[in-house]
Amino acid sequence: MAKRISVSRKMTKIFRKWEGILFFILLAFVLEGISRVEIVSSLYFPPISKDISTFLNLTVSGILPLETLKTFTRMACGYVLAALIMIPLGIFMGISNKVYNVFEPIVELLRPLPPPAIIPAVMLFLGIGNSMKVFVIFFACSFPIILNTIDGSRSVYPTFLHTARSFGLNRYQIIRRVILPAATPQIMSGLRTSLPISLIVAILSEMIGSIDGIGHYILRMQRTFNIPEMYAGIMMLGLVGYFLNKIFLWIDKTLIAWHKGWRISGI
Amino acid sequence: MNNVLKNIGKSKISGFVLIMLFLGLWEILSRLGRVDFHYLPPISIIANSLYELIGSLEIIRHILISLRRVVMGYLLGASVGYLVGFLCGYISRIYSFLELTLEYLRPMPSIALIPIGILFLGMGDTLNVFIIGWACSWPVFINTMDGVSSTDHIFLNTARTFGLNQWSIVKKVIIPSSVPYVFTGLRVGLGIAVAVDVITEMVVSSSGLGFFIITTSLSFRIPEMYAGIVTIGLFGYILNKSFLLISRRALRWQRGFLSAEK
Repeated sequence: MAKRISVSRKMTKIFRKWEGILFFILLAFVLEGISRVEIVSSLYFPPISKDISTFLNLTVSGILPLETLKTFTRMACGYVLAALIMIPLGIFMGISNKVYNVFEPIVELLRPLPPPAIIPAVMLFLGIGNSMKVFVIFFACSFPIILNTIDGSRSVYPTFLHTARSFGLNRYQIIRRVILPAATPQIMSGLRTSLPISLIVAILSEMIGSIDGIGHYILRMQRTFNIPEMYAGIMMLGLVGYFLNKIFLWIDKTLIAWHKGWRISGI
Repeated sequence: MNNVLKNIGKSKISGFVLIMLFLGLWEILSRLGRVDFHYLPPISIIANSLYELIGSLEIIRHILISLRRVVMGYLLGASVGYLVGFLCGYISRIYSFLELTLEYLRPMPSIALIPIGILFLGMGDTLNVFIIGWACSWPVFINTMDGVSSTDHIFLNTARTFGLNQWSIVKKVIIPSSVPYVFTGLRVGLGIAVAVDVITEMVVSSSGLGFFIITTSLSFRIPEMYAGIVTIGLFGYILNKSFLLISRRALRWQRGFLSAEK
């Protein structure tokens, strides 16, 4: 009797573990059925199986990965540029009131502007080439990064700073050894916020003015009525977003592993 | 003199001085033809065209159209996000069912859905409202779920001890204690709603602020384009400020509650 209970418990456990995937597969079957029996026109909504096979075909033939790579390169350039400029600036704004007062009004002035709104103006100066996209991505990513960095470097425990000063560390050492590590978790959260933003803005700028990239590809496929190809492109985007987030979480975990232990130890 | 300079360095005046210098430089350079007059018209001309656009009501029409789309999409997205988030936070079983599906859909850039939206909804307002709703439902969903599932156990146990039934626990404990989280999500969602509204209008619509700036840019009405960009900034700013005003009112009890706890 006891054994049977434990077996059924095991079954429930396994079921619980896989129910998310089960639901996902079930949903795919329902969508397949909807399209097969033409509840929704299969012209607009091809069966999932067809989308997936198109997706695989396009992936193997290298069309989708190539377009995605172009988008990704632009995105990475803008993102890294924003991180390289905004993290140091944010730290200086966080530790020096003078620097903060100089730049704060500009940041506050530009912050409420939705990043896509600057695309038309940037297009005038930089055309529709890569530099326009990189600049717009840079602009969009800057705000979450700089605001979080300022916050992070301002909220360093005063005790830490006093201790560092008592031990005779100079300004540079304090920044490197105390402020930077203490602000890292918050800097990372800013970087994490701006990651999906960079992807969205990259795709948008490709939809508005571009000749390649995954955003342009999806829109072109829709306009030329290659609907399965369009869905395949969208699936690819979902995957890219998903894995970007996963990779980032992994980096985050390895970079600030010490922080979790530090928090648990109760300081 | 030195003292005055020091004070300027300490206060925010220095920042405003910097902005003024920047704008002045822009005006002068543009007037002197150092930068291309057509691409970067003087500030005064931009201000003048903004004034004219408001006077001729052209931009007011676009503002109202955008506002309607933002509000409708926001209400749709916020209510769906709240409902799903509440269910997922309250019954963790539902979340474990939906987890994979939601985690796959969540990082999908909302504008990737524009092409699908065009197929099913056409190019009308419904498209904008749906895309905006989709995009701003995610932060509301995540925050509501977090808020509901992190209700303090002491509160729940106390409520149970006093013999409250499940419905009144939800109404009197879970919903109030999740409100601060929900408002965070709502605030993030509002910013996203404005940005996505501009995006959808740039890509598909033939009205609204996003359409206005892209069409003026393409037809080389550059001062009007800059005026439109300024308007969009103000639009987002005012929406955000009014949201903060409302949330401060709504959360007044909570601040008192927090300080009482301290």
